[in-house]
Amino acid sequence: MLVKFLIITTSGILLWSKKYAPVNPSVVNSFISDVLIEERVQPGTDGKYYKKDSYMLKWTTANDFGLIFIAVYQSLLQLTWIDELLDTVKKLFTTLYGEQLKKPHTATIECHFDDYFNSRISELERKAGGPRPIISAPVIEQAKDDGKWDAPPPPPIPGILKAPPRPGSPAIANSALMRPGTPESRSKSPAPASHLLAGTRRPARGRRGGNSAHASSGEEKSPARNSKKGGKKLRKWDADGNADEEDGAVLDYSAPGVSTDEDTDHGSRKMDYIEQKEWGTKTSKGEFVLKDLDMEVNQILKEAEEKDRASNTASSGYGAFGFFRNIVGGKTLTKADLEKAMTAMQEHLSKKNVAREAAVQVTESVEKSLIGQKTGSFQSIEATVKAAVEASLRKILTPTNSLDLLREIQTKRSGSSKRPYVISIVGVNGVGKSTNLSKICFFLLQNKFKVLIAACDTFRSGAVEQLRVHARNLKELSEREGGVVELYEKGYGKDAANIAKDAVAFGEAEGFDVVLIDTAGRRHNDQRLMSSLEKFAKFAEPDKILMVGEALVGTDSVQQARNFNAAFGNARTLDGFIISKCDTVGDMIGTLISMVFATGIPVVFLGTGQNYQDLRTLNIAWAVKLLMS
Amino acid sequence: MESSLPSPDATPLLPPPGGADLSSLMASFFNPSLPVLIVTVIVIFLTPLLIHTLIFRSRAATTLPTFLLVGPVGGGKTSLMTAFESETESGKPPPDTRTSQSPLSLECSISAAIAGTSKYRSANDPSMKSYLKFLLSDTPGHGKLRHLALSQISSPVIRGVIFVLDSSLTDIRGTAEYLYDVLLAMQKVASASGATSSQPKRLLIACNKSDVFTALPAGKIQKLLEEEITKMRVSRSKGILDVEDDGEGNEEKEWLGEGGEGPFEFKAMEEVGVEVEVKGGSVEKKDWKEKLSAFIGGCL
Ligand SMILES: Nc1nc2c(ncn2[C@@H]2O[C@H](COP(=O)(O)OP(=O)(O)OP(=O)(O)O)[C@@H](O)[C@H]2O)c(=O)[nH]1
Ligand SMILES: [Mg+2]
Repeated sequence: MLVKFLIITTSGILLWSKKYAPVNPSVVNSFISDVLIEERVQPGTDGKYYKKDSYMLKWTTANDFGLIFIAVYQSLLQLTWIDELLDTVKKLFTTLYGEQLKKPHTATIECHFDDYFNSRISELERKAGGPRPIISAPVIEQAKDDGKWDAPPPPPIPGILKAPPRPGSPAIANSALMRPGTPESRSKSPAPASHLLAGTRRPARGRRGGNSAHASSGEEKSPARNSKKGGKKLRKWDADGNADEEDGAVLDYSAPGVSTDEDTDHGSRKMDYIEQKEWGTKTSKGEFVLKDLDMEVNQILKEAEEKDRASNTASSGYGAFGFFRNIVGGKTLTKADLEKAMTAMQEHLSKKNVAREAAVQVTESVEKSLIGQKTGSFQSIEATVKAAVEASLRKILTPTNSLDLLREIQTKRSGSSKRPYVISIVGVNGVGKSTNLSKICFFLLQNKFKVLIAACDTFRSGAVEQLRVHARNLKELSEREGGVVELYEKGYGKDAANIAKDAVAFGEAEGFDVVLIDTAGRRHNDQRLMSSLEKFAKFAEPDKILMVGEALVGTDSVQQARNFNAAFGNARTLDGFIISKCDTVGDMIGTLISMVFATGIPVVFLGTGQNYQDLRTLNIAWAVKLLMS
Repeated sequence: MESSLPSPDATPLLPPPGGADLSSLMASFFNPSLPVLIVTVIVIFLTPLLIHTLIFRSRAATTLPTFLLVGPVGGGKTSLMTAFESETESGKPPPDTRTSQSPLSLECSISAAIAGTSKYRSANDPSMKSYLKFLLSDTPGHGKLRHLALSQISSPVIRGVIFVLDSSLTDIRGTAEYLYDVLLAMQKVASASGATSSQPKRLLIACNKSDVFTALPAGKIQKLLEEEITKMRVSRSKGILDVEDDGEGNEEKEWLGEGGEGPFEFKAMEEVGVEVEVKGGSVEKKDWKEKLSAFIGGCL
């Protein structure tokens, strides 16, 4: 069942929300970070919904207004209409308040969206087979009573409410109470509930059968009522103490009148709105309004649909004018407009060695974010697309947390534990694991760390010898500056995980700062070898697992990165990529994008040559420039 | 010379460019060729657009002085901005917030007198007229979107930067890292503009959420951040070069602040033209308006 419905702007402001039960804001925050910013797709969800704690989230965006519509609900069951709800609410909201939203420098808008929303919900529920709302006599009566009972808000506490005629509002408001006997309707239609609290502005429409609501916002409400006027300020901030649950309340204020739970202060204002605004001359007599509102809603939706259709056909039919618009800018982008530019962009990215799959997904997500937006003045579609792809690539490559390896090692070493900082290097065969490990080692030695290299490639003959040579070279190079490096080796054929564990123990006993673990190269589709990585991670407990990927690799990069990222069990992922042989590919550095895109794991280092000092950090502006050139 | 190049034969329908006499000119007016028509139509359509964009540009050029809000996710930038705005402008309670993905600026104002009493005045008080207007510009704090803020620091409309953080300081390193980037960007701006403007770039570190019981006092936060930056600037200076530095070999890394390796202090930033101030406060307790007034007034 629906728990909460939110409308937020991309700038992070909650414009309107409807709450049936408290939801910690962190749920929505992590949704925004994970899905909208980091564009991660939760496995198994296909990107269609998002799971967090016990909640599911579905969403839709209105790019032209910078709005996000989010439905938070408890289970998939029963909610066949959630997509339609999102879609129609989006149409309604943008039609009603689009003008206000376009004004510059505005954070909030005045919206009184509750009733529209409720109307939508009950309509959808009805279609889905729920109980039909009935307008009944008691309701009207109740409306009369309201004035008396619910003294504070003079105007309208409309008739909404349901059944318990004694609006005992206090009681109702206070407890998320559900009346016995109506469980079914209740569960299906949470919406009406809040009327109790909310409804002041206009009589509630929604469903009024006897279901009474579980008014979750009750808690905050009642104090407010008690304090009546003047209490408003107080209450608000009070409530915030428990911020998590209160957002609904706060929100409401943002757009006075909107809200699910209003309090007395807003009563009069609300009234004004009714008269002046959308409602024109309509009176606030509940019974009739219900119909009017539903009609209005349907009208808006119909118009929105027609407009959609019109713009779809028109975009091709505009002819010269469309062409003109393309030059001058100010064109609202549709899928058809973007198609050509998007295909061109895909081609371009593929030429830069971005794996097909990644190129397609990047352009698709860019396309999604552009549809509905207007091109800037004198900006062609191509230029708009190019700018958007550029921004998207930058976002993909920018790590969420910056990686300062030296600082991290220092922090760890200055902590209480004597355990060295453990870095292990993984990757497919021949990509340059040992070489890059030596480069990192060289860098650490320059910074006066004591480094132990663990030879855990017990598989490929010659691997240990190769490391021995590196270790000897590094020793020579760094001896003058006082660096200490040693090789921990146990020959071939033994279990790598055990050697790694022993090496770390040895490093701890001997006071090493860093243990670098080299592992056997393995094909990412070699089940047996890949599965041994999980045990390896458990035994060695590396602080960082870095995967080396070749800049030369093409289409395979996505799968490589994914498989390695998934190989360490549920609790562990890769921490970063080292992209090797970057000096050999010129500007075709698409592998960077493919690997990062496939996993959300950042690029930590680039290998740029054969020498020990040929290790670089990624410069994002540089990479984006090369990719777009 | 060149203007006489196009010969009449080449484009018989067009009037000769230079020396056309009046009648042939008239003739060509009433004998429009396709290219002329197209050009005319384009001109007709473009002129209003050009005028529009010109006006639009010049408006943009006179943007209000702007204060940039930066800081890590969840510090309270958006809340601070909307609270500030709603206190001054609309009187409505500020909206609730969620993680931001895009920047937003709001128009705010403070009393010209920067009197602490201004908040007790009603919106109808005539003295409200003497308010100074400015923009508060909120930016997203998410790691992937920080360039939106950092790239703005160099903009000439930015009068001051406000770094908003959560006083509970649960992630010192992450916070210090962002602060470091901001300081470095400001240092670059200051040194680039050094000759042209003697006005220092100003940063206010706003330790928000002081109402929460885990909040540290501003003085303590300053100390922790300075310590962290001390370490960070050493490790950054020794870090691996980035790919772009390649050509010139071992280019000197930027060093935050002036001179030596010793402990970093915000005060030392003054030598490179960046003034740093630390203040505690709380959006919840609505005390930022008052506390920011002096800073903002000083920058305007
Ligand atoms: N207790 C308390 N909470 C606050 C205060 N200021 C902000 N908050 C809360 O902190 C949370 C995050 O605030 P935001 O303003 O969205 O943070 P932000 O800095 O804009 O975050 P991003 O946009 O994600 O970078 C919100 O839930 C606010 O209600 C304060 O002074 N005290
Ligand atoms: Mg924000």
